[in-house]
Amino acid sequence: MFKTGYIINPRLDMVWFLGLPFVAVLAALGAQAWLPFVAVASINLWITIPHHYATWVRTYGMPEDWSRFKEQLVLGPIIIVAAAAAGMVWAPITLLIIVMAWDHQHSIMQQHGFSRIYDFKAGTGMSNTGRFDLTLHWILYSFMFLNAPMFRNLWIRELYKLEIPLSVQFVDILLLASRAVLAVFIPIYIWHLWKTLRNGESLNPIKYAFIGASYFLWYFAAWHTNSILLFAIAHRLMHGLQYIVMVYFFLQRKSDLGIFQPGFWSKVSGQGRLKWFLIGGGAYALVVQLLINRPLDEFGFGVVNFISYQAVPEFGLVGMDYISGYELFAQTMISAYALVHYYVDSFIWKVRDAKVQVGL
Amino acid sequence: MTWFRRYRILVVVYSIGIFMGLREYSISQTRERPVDFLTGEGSVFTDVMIGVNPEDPDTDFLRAMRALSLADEEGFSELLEKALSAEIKHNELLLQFHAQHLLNQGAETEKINKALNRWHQNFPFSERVITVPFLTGPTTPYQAVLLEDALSKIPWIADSEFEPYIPDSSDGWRLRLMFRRGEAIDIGLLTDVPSWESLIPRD
Repeated sequence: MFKTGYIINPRLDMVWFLGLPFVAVLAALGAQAWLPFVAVASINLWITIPHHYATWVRTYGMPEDWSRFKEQLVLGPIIIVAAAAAGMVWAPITLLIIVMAWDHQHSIMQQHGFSRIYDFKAGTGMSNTGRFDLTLHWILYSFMFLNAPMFRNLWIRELYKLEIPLSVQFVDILLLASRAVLAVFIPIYIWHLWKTLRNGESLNPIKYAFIGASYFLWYFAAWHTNSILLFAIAHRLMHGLQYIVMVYFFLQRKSDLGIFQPGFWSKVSGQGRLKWFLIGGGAYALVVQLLINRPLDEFGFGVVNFISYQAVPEFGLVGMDYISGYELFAQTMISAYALVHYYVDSFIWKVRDAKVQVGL
Repeated sequence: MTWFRRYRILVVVYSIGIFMGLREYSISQTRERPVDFLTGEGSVFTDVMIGVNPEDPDTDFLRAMRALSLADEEGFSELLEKALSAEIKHNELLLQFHAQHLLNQGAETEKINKALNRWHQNFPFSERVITVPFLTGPTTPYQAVLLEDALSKIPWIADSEFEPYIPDSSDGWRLRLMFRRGEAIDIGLLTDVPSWESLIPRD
C-alpha cells in the first residue's frame, strides 16, 4: 500500500523538504515581530538571488545541458529581456502583473516537480497521477490566492488599474466558485488515490507529507497576518532554499557518477565543493546588487547600515548622502586594492626564494 | 510542433502579455496618469475592499484617505490610527502619511519622531520626502545659502529644498526633506524653532 522514496535521503529530506516550511514560518514570524520591512529585501539577496545563480550553474555552466537546450538558453533570454524592456516603456502594469503571475505559477510548478520526484524515486502512483497532482496544486494554490485577504487586495487592485472594476457581488461569486471547485476536487483526488491502490500501485506518504508541509506554510502565512512581510519571507525561504538544495544534490549526483563532461558546474559541486557553491551564490548576489546600483546595506536586514557617513568637521566634510557616501566607499576600495597589491607584491617576488626561482 | 512545444510557455506568456499590454497602452492614451487609489477616483475600489476585506488594515488606510478627501479630519485620524494599530510594516504610504499628518497637525515632537523613525526603519532606502511648513522663507541668495548650510549640519537630513507653496509668492513656505539612512530622526531640530531664521546659528 505504501512505499517510501526520498529526494535526497530520509535525514536531509526531513530537514529541507519536510521540516524547512515550519522553520521558515517561525523565522518569518520572528522577522515580522522584530525586523523592519527591509528584511524582505535582505532575504531576497541572501536566498532568492543565489537561487537564480543555481539555475545558471545548472544550465549555462553544464556542457551537457548547454548543448541540449542551447537554442532555448540563447533565444529565451533575448526574447524575455526584449519583452521586459518593452513592458517597462509601454505597459509597466502589465509587466508587473506578468512577473507576479509567472512567479506564482513557477512556485506551484516547483512544488509539483518535487512531488513528481517523490513518486519517481519511490516508484509510486499511476501514469496519470502527475496530472491529478498538478490539478491539486493549481486548485489549492488558486484557492489561497483568491481567498486570502492579503492576495485579494493585490489582484483586485491590479485589475482596477487595468480598468477592469469588480463588484463585491462578483468577487463573492468568484470566491464561492473557488470553494465549490475545491470541495468537488478533493473527493475526486481521494478517489484517484483509492483507484491507485485498487490497481495494485502504491502511494508515497512522504510526498503527501511534503505537499502538506508546503501548503501549511502558504496557507498559514497568507491567512495568519495582514502583512505581506510574513508571506514574502516564509515563501522565499522555502522556495529558494529547496531549489538550491535540489540543484546542489542533482549536480553532486552527476559529479559522483563521473561520466559527464566537466565544466563550471563540476568546479562548484561534488564532494567537498559545497563551500564554492555557496560562495559563488553569495558573490553572484553581491555582483547583482552592485550592477543594479542598490545599497549593499540591504544585506543587513535593516539592522546593519555600513555605509552611513557622518560629517567630519576636522576635514571640512559635511555629512554625505548615499551617492556621495558610495563614491567615498568606491574611492576607498580603489585605494585599498592598490595597497593590497603593494603588500602582496612585497613578499611573493623574492628572487632568493627557491620556490620563486622555479618559475623564473 | 516541436518548435511550439519548446517555446509554448513563452508563447502563452507573450500572448497574455500582449493582450493585457494593449489594454494598458490604450488606457494610458486616454489618461494622464494611472488611477490614484488614495484620492476620490479610487472610491469604487475602496468600496469593493470594504466589502471583501473589511478587517484588513490596508482597507482602513483606504477608508482614511477617503475621509481625508471628504475633509473629514477626525475620521481620517481615527481610521489611520486603527490601521497603524495592526502593526503592519509593508505599507510605506501609510507610514509616510501618518508622519506627515502628525507634522501637519502640530503633534508632539516625540510622536512625530516615533512615526518618522518607524517609517524609516522599515524603508531605510526610501526616496520619499516629508514637508515641513514655514510661514516665511529666505528672500535673498545669501539667506538661502545660510539656511542650506544650517540644514546640512543636521545629521539625519540628506538633502533639502526650501520653496514657497506658490512660486513667486510669500504666503507660505515648505521645506522638503530627504532622509539619511541609519540616522535617528529628530524633527524637533526643525519644528521646535520659531522660524526658519532660528535654524541659522548666530555665529
